[in-house]
Amino acid sequence: MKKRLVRHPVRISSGLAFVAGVLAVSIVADADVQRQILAIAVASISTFAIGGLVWRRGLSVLGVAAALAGTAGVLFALVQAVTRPAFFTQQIELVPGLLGLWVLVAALVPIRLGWERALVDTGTGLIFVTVLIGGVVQGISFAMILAAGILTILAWDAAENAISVGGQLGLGAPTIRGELVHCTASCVVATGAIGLVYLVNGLGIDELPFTALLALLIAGVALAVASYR
Amino acid sequence: MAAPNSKPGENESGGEPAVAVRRTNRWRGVVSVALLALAIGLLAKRPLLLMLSAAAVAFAAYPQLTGPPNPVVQIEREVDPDSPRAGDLVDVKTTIRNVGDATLFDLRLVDGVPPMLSVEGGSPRRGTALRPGSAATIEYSIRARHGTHRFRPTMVIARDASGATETETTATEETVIECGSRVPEVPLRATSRHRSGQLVTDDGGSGLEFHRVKEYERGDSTSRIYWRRYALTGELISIDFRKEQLADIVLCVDAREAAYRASSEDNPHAVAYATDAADRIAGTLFQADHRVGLAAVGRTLCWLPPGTGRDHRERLSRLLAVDPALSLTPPRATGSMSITGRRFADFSAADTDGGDTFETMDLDRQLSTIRTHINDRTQVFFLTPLCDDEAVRIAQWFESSGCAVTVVSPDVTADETAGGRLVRTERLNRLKSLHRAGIPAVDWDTDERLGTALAGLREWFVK
Repeated sequence: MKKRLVRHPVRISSGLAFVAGVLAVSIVADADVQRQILAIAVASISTFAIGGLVWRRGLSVLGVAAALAGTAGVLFALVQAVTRPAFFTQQIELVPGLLGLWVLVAALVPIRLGWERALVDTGTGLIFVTVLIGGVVQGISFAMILAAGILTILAWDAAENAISVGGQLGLGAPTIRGELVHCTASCVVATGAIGLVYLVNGLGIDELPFTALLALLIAGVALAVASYR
Repeated sequence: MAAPNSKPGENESGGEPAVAVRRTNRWRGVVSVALLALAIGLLAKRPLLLMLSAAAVAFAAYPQLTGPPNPVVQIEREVDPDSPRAGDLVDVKTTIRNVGDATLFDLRLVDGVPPMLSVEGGSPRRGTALRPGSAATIEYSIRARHGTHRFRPTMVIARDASGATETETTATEETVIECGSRVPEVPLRATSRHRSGQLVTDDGGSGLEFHRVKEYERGDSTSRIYWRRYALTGELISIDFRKEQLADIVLCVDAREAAYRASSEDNPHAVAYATDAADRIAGTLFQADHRVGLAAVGRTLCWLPPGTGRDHRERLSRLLAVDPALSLTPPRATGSMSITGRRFADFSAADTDGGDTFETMDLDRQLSTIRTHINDRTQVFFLTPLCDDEAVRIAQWFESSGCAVTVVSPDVTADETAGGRLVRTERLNRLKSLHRAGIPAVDWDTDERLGTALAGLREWFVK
């Protein structure tokens, strides 16, 4: 029987993207209750992912049932995230992250062909919102917020690469080596970025006026924008 | 095992392969992340978030640190067996070696599986990373069908480590699988140029088959005088044989959008069958020393005037493999439909993500252009699935313009559905209408040998 080319996101990079996303959210969700809710959500999203993959393999009833069960678990976790934490800040910071993880996995199953990239952007964007909320409302450490932000970027990079490789080579092709080399290279850059930020931080920017720091960053961002024109 | 004959860095036309360099802009979104962190950090007056923005800027700068990759690869391919029987599984092992100086961080390879053959085990695709001098192997198996199956160029896509720049090129290794492909004879219609060859005509002259006897005329060869009669009666009589001549033959492939039809999603479409048939018919005609040309009508015109010789033969084979008019990827406009009405999935493992970008050329202009290059004594083999009435019109147009046309029609219809049965009936009606118009038409069941189908022409010509 002829083997069909299945242009779905490849699995290794997809798994790495999910793990990076979970780590990013778990860094921000540092309260015990938040961790418990995150564990429920991760289990539910995993069930949803398995259901989606089973559905994609053609076992519709079983797959849809598992995906629905996973979805119910995610909704339960979301309700818990809003109601259980004692502080308002803790209540709001976890919700985008949980939704983001769910959307990220939905993109990588994929739930709908052609929507993968948009869903990955949305999912990782929501995770990044959780990181930003954590940076604004919490007294979270500099290292933690930096790690969470960079993990979010790595999650997006791995997910986008999974879609790209899957689109060009399909699911059946051996692609592990290329995927791992790509992720390793991104991790090296992440290490470099962390080193760079620590270097700048070590220059004593706390003593600089906030506006000077801002101007420096605006210049950097403008440079980055210009390079993509 | 097929002996590899690799020429790295060359494509099928013998020159440098086409290289396309694209920017993926995949890191552009990180700039938005940096801006968002900057804005939130500004509003909330959190230097912490400004530092996060700085980290995002570092990622945005990542693509600037890497240049476009320049993949220089060498390819070797082994097939086992290289002359299988129809239905046999053929193991293919393609090895790609990085013979350049730079590491290829993200190398995506798609082996050029012959379009008529389907992959049954393994994958003809591979994603890997290669240091200079190292190699990767693609192993898979394909199911053999009748025909001569040439591997297409292997697609090589290299991305830099960041994935921001993508270089696409091809690497060629000439590998052929022969599977009961020989067409023993291609019967021709009785008209041709006056050059001696294997086309038997109704004209008398030198040849092998007896034609008539006639009174001796001055200039008749002494070898053709009927000496026995002369000994008996003293009357000089010459024997005429059926004159055998060479023909100018143009193989015209119907590659219009309507011809990209397949009996099912698992089977090749009619343009693939027609291209394969043209290759094999040309081989037989070249062996018989005929002058053979190639034409294809469709999204663009392909034209090679009739000719002979090894170079011409190679050029014809090359055009069949790489000419845009004969692209095996269906036109993008409406896609390809299977005969049962379902969308036709790509059957080729070596196809690209998109369809063609060639401008559509008016069909009548294409036919007129072909007609200006051929004369009344040129025979045309029109290879078409007869999926629409336009195909009949083209055959009749050639015939009415003075060329002797023979239609070879691969049957890509299916009868599983009511729609499929209707299409099959319509096609049979078109074959009948061609017969009524005096145009020989071969109904080729693609599960059968092409040579057997063409042998039926002999009966047609005897009628």
